[in-house]
Amino acid sequence: MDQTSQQPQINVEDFSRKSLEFYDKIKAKLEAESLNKYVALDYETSKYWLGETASEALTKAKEEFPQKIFYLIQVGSLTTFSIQSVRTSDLFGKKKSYDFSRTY
Amino acid sequence: MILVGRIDEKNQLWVLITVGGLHSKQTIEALIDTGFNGELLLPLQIAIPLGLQLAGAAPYSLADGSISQQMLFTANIDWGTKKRTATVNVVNSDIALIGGGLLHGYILLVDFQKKQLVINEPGIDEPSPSPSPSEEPKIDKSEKKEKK
Repeated sequence: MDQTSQQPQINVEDFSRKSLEFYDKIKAKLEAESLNKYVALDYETSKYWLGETASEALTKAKEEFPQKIFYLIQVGSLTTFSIQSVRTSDLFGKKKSYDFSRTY
Repeated sequence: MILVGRIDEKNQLWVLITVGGLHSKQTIEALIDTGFNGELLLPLQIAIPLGLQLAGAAPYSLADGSISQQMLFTANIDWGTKKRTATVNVVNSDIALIGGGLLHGYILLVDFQKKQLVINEPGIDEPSPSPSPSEEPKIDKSEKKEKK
């Protein structure tokens, strides 16, 4: 069986919006207790997993829900990943950028 | 020591890393990029044949100042003598990057004079990148007091 057929589907824009709505509800608590740690969010179950690294947070989340996908945030940061050698035109998938004026 | 890398003629830092997905695994040479805070960034042409697992999404900030929501993948990697899971960002590029996230908790030693690059693990490898006390320049405090 082709294992790729088991991969979850994702609408990145919709998934990110719902995840950020969930993050807004727990943001104050996380920023007070876990600033700069990484958090994997699941807006469907309202659960989250913290880690010192991105992979640690995701691994904890995957241990509980192996088939789910998660939104990854570095607590207190506007963005999780900073890539100073890559431009929007280099991105995989949608090439347009989003005007996120959110401040955490 | 978990692995040894190389420094090229342009003073760029490279290490070998083996990356595995659902379909295959491949050993590639990746550039250490301290302007990237993620763990591993792979070009599309390397990532697709591996069959990386979709892990979710995350907000990225890029060199042109934009912020973008992008998919995030995971891979199994041989990180020197260790096997672990790493998050992977996939882009249209030619070069694989290792970011600060993968070096978290390790000691990166770079000697540009001898062109040597070593990644060590704290607690197992105990070299000190700073000079030992006997090598530190001595300051004659009495001399400074006299000048005041």
